[in-house]
Amino acid sequence: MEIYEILKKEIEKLKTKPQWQEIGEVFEIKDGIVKAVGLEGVENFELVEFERTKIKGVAISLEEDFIGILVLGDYSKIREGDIVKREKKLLSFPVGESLIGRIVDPLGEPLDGKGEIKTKNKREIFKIGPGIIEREPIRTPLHTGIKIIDALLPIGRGQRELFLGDPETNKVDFALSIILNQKNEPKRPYCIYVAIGKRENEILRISKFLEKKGALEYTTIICASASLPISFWYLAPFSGCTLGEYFMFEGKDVLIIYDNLSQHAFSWREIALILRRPPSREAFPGDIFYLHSQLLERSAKLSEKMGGGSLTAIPILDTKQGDITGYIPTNLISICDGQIFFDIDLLEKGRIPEINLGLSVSRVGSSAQTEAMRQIAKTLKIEIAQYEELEKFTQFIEEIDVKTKEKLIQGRKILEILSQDKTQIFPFEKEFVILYSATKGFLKNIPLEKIKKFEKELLNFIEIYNPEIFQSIREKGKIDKSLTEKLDEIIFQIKSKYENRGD
Amino acid sequence: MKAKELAKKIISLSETKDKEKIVKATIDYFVQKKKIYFLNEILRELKKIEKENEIELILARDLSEDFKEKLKEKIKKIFKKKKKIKIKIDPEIIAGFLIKEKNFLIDASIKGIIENLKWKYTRF
Repeated sequence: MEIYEILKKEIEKLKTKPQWQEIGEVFEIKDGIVKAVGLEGVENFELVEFERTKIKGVAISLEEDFIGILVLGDYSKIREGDIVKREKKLLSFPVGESLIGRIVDPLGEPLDGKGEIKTKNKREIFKIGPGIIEREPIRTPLHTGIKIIDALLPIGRGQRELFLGDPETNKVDFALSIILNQKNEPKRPYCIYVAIGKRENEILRISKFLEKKGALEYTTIICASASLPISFWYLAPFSGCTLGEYFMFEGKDVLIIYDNLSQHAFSWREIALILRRPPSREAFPGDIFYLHSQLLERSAKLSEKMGGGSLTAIPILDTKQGDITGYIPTNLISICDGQIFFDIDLLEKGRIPEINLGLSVSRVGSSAQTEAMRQIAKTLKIEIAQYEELEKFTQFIEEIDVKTKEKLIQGRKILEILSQDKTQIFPFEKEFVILYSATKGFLKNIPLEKIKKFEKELLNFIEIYNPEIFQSIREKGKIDKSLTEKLDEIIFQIKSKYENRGD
Repeated sequence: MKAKELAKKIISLSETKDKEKIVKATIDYFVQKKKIYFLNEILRELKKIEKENEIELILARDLSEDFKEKLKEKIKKIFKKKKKIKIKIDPEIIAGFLIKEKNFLIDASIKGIIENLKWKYTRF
């Protein structure tokens, strides 16, 4: 009886007045793309609705005779002759605090079964990045927790740093460990992880991993898995960027990881080929450069007037057999403010993280580095460069003089210090202490195989007995004379345990 | 010349001159030039143009001629442009009517109302 009453009331409320609708008619359906006639006055990126199935679409190609519509749903249900209605609003994505800690699809629909996302704010997905006046040079560092990156290839808040390497390398794991490291950072950035064309179980593994480490509470996962239509792959990075931009304009710091943009380029290629746009190199359409540059230009460090927020982007890209001179890799290298190349050859040699320092660069990050780290980085860079040169040279020589041998061993020890496991993260102060001991020559008498043990004990010792050292480095970002003396004393005390006097 | 432009030209000519003559002359011309296959494209374009100039009035059941005329006059007033009105009977819309043009749709059918209600309650 109750249901009957409710239904009666609802029917009374219904608008029965005939509605004037602006429509078009479907005449061609291809994989994920529908062509329609009519729809006069439709805008580019305007939302449309297929009347019979209520599936949404977005107009992406306005041509003389027809309109190309990207179907945002199951396109197999659409039939020829279906009516398409104009929605008279541009494609947008829900934004707000309620998206934090959630897994959503590129349209903002929840996928984690934690219920509806309650937010009224929406932001247009396709927008142009902030202009020159709204920006500011990058000054604040974004600590990654990876020693080699923080010391030699520093990333600043608002920077775009490309992670590229073969599919077998650990680039995704290291990108994820950057998210983990933000947990205890001052002014913690919000993190967004965009999964494009990844397997569902891989995404599940990542979300469980983040949840286990307590990182999901400040992270949003935008998921366009391999089973979703190609239109979702294309939209996912833009959706993630829209959410990031919202927080940035609120004055907050945001870190966004696009995993990965190779799949995104493939999706746009597929769409463009179906729309019969002229293919160029590797069958990509002519605007493939703009596809990525418009996305990455939206990352910025805003000026104080605009709230001072920032959006740091870490796009991930697959290379084939270590070739970084492919079409998409060179495009992205030129767009980004630097790249970190994960070299499969180094991985095979057993170096983790397998970062090739010769082919990696960070163009703006050094100005964002803390003073303490900058001083150390100078010596580190020189020592590593010398080591790499000597190593190549000595491959062909049997007998080496004592000085060269010493240099080689020191270089190897520094590389040992810079190595770390893929889920291991080092807070800034710990990174500093261990790199300080390496550059000041304290490793000289410690054998190579004992270096990791020495590192562990040193950090544990300071954490337990002298936590004020860590605290002071963390707060000030630089060290004074009294602190160095204290640090020297502690390092000397611990290193004597590991020294091999017979060496 | 493109098929679309040719089709437009044929329509504009047919307003003033004898239609049969035009058809004959066009066919003769393409036979002479050995480009018969081009006729197919022109025919497709002509059909397209015809559809564009058409307004479809969909009714649930057949109405009296008198009432139909009244409806047609009213539709002509709304759309203003001189367009052909085609009447189609479709019992699926239950009652009421639909007016469909290339770019617009006026939905005054019971089916539309029921579909809206269904959509409202089956979405979640």
